[in-house]
Amino acid sequence: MSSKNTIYLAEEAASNLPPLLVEAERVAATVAQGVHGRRKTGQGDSFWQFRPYNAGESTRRIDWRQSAKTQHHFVREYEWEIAQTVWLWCDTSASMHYSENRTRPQKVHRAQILTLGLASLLVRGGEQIALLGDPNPAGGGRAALHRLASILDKKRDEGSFLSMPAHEHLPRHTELVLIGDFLSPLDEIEEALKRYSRRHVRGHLLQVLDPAEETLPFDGRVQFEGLENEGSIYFGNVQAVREDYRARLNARRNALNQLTHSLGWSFHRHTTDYPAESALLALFQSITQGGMR
Amino acid sequence: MWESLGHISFTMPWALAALLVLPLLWQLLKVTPPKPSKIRFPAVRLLQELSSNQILATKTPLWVLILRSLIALFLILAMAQPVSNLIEGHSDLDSPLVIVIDNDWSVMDRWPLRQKELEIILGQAEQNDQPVHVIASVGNVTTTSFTTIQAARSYIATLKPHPWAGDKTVILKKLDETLGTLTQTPRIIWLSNGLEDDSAFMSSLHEHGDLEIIHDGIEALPSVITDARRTEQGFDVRVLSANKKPTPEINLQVLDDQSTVIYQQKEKLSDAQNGQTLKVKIPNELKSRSAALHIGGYITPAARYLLDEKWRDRPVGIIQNRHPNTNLLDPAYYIRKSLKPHAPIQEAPLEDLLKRKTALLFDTSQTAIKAEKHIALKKWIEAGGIFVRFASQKLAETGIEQRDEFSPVQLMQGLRTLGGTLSWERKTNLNDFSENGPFSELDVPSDVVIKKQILARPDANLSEKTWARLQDGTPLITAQHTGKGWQVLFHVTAAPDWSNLPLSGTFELMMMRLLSLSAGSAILDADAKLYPYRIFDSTGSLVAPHGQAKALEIGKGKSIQPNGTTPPGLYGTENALRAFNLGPFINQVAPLGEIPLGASIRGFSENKQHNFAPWCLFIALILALIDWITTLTWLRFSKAITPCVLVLFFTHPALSEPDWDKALAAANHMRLAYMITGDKKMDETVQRGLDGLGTVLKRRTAVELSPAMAFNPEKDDPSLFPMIYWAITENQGELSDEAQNRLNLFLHTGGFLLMDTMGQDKPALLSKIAKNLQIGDLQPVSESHVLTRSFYLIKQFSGRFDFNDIWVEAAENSTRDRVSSVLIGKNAWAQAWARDDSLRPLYAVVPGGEIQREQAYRFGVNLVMYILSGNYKGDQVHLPAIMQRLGL
Repeated sequence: MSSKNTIYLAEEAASNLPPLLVEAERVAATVAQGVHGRRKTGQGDSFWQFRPYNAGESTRRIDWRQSAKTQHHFVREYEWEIAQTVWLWCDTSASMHYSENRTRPQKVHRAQILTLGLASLLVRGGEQIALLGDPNPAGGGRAALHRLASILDKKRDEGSFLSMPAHEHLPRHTELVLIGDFLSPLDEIEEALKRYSRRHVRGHLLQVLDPAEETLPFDGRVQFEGLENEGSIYFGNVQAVREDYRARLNARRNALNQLTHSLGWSFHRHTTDYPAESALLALFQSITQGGMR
Repeated sequence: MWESLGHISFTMPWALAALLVLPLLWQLLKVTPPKPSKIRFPAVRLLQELSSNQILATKTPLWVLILRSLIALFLILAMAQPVSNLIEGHSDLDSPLVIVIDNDWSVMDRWPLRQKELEIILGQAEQNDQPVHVIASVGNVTTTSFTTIQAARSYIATLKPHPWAGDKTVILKKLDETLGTLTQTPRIIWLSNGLEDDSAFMSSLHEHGDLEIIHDGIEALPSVITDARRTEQGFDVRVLSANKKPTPEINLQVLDDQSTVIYQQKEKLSDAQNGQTLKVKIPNELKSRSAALHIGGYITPAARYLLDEKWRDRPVGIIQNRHPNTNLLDPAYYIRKSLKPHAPIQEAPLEDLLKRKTALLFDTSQTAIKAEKHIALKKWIEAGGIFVRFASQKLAETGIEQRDEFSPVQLMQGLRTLGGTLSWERKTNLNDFSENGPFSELDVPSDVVIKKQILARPDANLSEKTWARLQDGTPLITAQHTGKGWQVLFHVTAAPDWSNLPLSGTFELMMMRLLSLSAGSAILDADAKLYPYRIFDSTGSLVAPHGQAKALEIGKGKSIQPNGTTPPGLYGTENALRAFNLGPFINQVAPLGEIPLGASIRGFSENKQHNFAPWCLFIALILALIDWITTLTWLRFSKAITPCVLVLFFTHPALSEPDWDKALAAANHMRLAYMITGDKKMDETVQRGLDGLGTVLKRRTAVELSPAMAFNPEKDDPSLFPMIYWAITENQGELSDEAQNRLNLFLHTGGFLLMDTMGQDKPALLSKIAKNLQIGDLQPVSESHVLTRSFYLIKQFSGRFDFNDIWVEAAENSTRDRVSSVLIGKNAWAQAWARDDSLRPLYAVVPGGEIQREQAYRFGVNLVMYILSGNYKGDQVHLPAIMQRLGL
């Protein structure tokens, strides 16, 4: 699938949502202009205050209309507005290349669409986006969106076994969105999340699963094989372990939920038999409200 | 069924010992279950974390055990070579086997049975390792000895029955020669044709060795046509048949030269073992086409009697008039006309005609026959000639007081004139054709009028000689049998001056009857050498001759038997064929007589031995396939197949079959339609309303609508109608998905739906019905909507009621050129439009006044115009601006 096509699908999924503005109490210090007012003067579009002209300043800065009303010269100052940067990460490892039913998209495909949909919304809101693990600096506008799409395509085709983001040095107070299946061992996940949390990064986790992974709809004698060299396991009768498996999956999910709560992050789940819009809406809400789910 | 299955035996019974291994296999399968299916699964880590007690192997499913044991069982059975009806070899294993087989004409239709039997006998001999000698009774009679059974088999395959009878003495001679070379007493098997021939043959066979006779019983004996003769009505057929019980019924068929059955007749045989003559009555037209007689159901050459008379010429001679007339008054002209298509005609003086060969002679003008010719003519008649005379003026004048030698009756002098000016008698018609004449089957024509005739002198046997008479009983045609031939006198002329008989179609039929009455001249000269033209082959059909067939030399009292050099068939050249039939050479058809003491006799083996080993292997293969499929993809397969099976079972094709007649009627004319509501009265009202609107449209506009039709959303195709009027009532059911899809497509592609709640507010019902219809956003009809000016300029959309809330699709988001596809209202327009048969309105309008009804009609006209022409009138708003721009 070409990156153009993916963007199209992603934007279609995102078409019903308004532009996404990150509700951030503390915005990472960047120089990129954006929409987040810093409550001090600086570069921006919104009016902040008039102040008397100081000798030595350029006369071009005098606001003549205001000055004409009074006897003094005034200078118009604007609020310093900068953009928030959102770091996105999408799991493209081998375990994501899975779909039990051929009519359903693969998990990686859905994750990619969600990532791009979110990116599209952020770009429309004037925020900066960047892909975790990508050396290029964060950027805004449709150019950044296209670059993101092509990188994701490339990464998807590589099919690495890396199920968690490698540690990156992120600016403080940035937003981080992680989309993946989070089936790797829990301690690995915990360690990675805590590393980012220490740098005051606020994160959102979206777990994308295939319905088959939720329900284990197999019967009889089955040899299960992992997709990432985890080994295999054999069951004489799958029906017998179905309930146990579901309980196990729920336990894993609760653990993840508690972990994210403790870090002040949010956690969402999504299965590929539901439309992408639902997951996007959940992410949208938690990012705009800035709160935990 | 059980009898045939009961005799299964095993060729290699020791292989069954392998069945002991089965329990072992059972155990083995129990210990090593089949391979599990492999599934790639991302969440395998979670599965690995599960407790390990579930991992243990469950036992092999029972059905797998049973299935695999069955596979093994069938494999073992196949190894044991089960065979049904195994024929056990005889005890005298090493005595030589002599097979005598009758392959003459009578076994042609039973030949495959004999070949099968030979196969069985050879198979038996193969098992016993006996030497085999085969003697075929017809054809090149030699003993063929075989050392290997394979050679015997290929020889048997080339054996064929021949269409003639064999000579038993030759066989005995050959047998003697063969037995001379043998050291042991042989076992003789005679595959007999079942016909009694020469009882000495059987006993002499028996003298040579142990005789076993195989024949197929009296029921299978053939029936034979030994002779067939032409008669006036058809054929006399002599049939020979064995005395079967119950009395057999045979199907006598008449074939034409393409071997097509042109006539057939069922006959019961009562005394056929000595020959029984059956009469075949056949219409004359078919008789002239017949080329062979055949007993249905038999393919032997003896059951087919070829007729060669068809090819025999029956030349017609007309005695030449001294003053030949070429005009229509010439009597010979009418005879020529009617006989030309059927026979060659010669016109010559009597002397010449007698020298040539003629079958029929016509004398039209009472030619004086010279005394010296009398004897020749008489001889000719007695040999089978037919001499036909017509009356003439001369005959009437002179009369034949003395009985003319060639006149069948004595004639009175003078002429009888019927219906003349001075006569009391009126012109008369033909009354009937006499039973004893050849014309008896002709229809009596009512339009033949006789004006003059000559009269026969009354005589004791005049009526016997009469072939046709007038209404007053006077004979018109008389005839006398002389020898094999006939003398015939027509009491009128052959020209249309005395009667209009020569002009009628009956005349031609009469001439043809006379022609077929004649025996035909024998064209075959003595001592002719006739070359074969078509001969019978081994399947009883006529084929081109093969090399061995020689010319047939007849005459000189030679008696030729049908044999290898002169097989039965047709001889001669294409234009003059002579049939050489087998039937006349067969003297009797009787079953075998007394069996010599000690000889055994039996019928043919009914069923061949059957080897079941391939079937066992096949079943094992099928079971193995099932095993393979089920263990591989049992789950997916069943999941995939179940919906297909369900669909196959539950879809009923007749349900969705559209009514083609209705569709055709709808497509051929423009019609409005109304949705069937289920309420009879409502349906009728809406139909009358639409028809009433149609009348108004026809009168006032160019739109000509045919009567409205009912529309059944579940069956009919809506695309055939420009508009569907939907009167919404309480008791309408919901539409099926298919109907909804059709209606949606209809709305999307330019259809129009008028939904009318008939004067009531039913928003809930309306929304329920329209829920699944893809109708765009609605808006009330604005003042400037095209509907207000598509034909009339109207402001009100009154129907029976006069409400204002009429809704159409909002123009902005309509994709169809801003033309709405629905109109929703409650004004009950159909009720306002409806009229009864005498064109009186059915419903009063509310609040009232005929002006409102007129408004309703105007709305209808505008609506139909809107539907048919879209927003054409809307564009006209811009007309003044366009005109201005054009400078007009």
